[in-house]
Amino acid sequence: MRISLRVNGVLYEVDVEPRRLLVHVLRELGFTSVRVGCDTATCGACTVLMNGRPVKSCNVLAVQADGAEIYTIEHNDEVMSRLKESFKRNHAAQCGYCTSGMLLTSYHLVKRGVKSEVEIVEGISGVLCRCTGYQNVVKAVKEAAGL
Amino acid sequence: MYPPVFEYVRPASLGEALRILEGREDAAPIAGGQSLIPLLKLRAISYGLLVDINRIPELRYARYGEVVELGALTRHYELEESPCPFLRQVAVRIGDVQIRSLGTLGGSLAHADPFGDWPAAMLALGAVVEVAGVAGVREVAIDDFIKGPYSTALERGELIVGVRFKCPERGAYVKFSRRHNDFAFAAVAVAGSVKDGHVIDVRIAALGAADRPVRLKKAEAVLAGAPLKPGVVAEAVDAARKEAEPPFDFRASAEYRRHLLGVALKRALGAL
Repeated sequence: MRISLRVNGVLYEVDVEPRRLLVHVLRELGFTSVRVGCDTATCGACTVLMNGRPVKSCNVLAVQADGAEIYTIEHNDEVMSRLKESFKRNHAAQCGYCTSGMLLTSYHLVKRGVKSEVEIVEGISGVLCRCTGYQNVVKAVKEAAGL
Repeated sequence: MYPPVFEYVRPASLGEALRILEGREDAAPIAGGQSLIPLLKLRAISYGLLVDINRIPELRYARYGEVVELGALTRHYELEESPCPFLRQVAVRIGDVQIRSLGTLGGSLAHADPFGDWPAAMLALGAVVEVAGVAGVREVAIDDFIKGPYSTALERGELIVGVRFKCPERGAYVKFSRRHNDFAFAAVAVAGSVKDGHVIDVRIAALGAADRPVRLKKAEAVLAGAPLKPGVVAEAVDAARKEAEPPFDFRASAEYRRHLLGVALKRALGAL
């Protein structure tokens, strides 16, 4: 089936088998910042923004995303750049595997005007980090959000 | 892992979707897919045809009047900011932000997970489920809709159109889970009304009290018409723990669940 995806503002048209997952299609388009982690919709490493909302791309059929606007961490607007800088300053990554998911869920939080640490913790709870222990991620998001 | 091979169609209307579902015994509807896709990937289930109902306008509505009417395609996240406060309390405890972006109210009810948040909430609300098939539309009370674990009153080829209920004057949802985004060990949903410190009417539904979401009718009976005081609450908690038959699994033992159900009920009543 032929589908179209607008990824970071660029329109792609691809032929996909209906059973193929969004994560695989994005990676084959070159967006390897979208990780395959647990592949069971738990860890959030495959998170992308789909029409402005974070989704786990290992848990979405590519055909379901037909016509959607997708953002990965290469979507470098002012908020994303600020977050990346803040992550760097606060050492909010160690192995880096969860970082794409952390950045994109944080981007969504900052965009909608996150107001408290509790909201940040809840907002990133769908991304599992197995090395930093979250403290520095929360710090980085707070700083980027001006909290 | 990829799901097994299936055909895929994306009907534009409810009628078209129902005709397709009726015509193919190996067909299943997919909405958000947040439970369906993991099961397909695990190869725990498989279908010859997936009918994508995401773009059917008749399933997408939200009307807040004296009665609240919500379409099956209402996403969990949309209810995080619902005008009905009880729905907000439930919505924010479902999965995580990513799951809530796609998962739907109708999907949650049709899947009927034994630990599904919406089935419990709808039981507490006494919701009516509107179900459509090629023969027409029928209405099923939520108490008759949930038939067992992963089992509902839906017949082959039928789709949930939406639900209808009154936003409760008072409501509370208390859920205990290992992580914020996990399924519940135990959860209690309470909806009803209170006047001059007395419970006028109340419905209590629980997760982790049986092999499916169930009402705690003995606890309801203790509370009906009674003053909302510590002694009465303690009696209701006692009744709830006695009537519960909690399952045990890798998440929690039956006894732990029984204990938590009481705590959840006490907190929910305290928050009314």
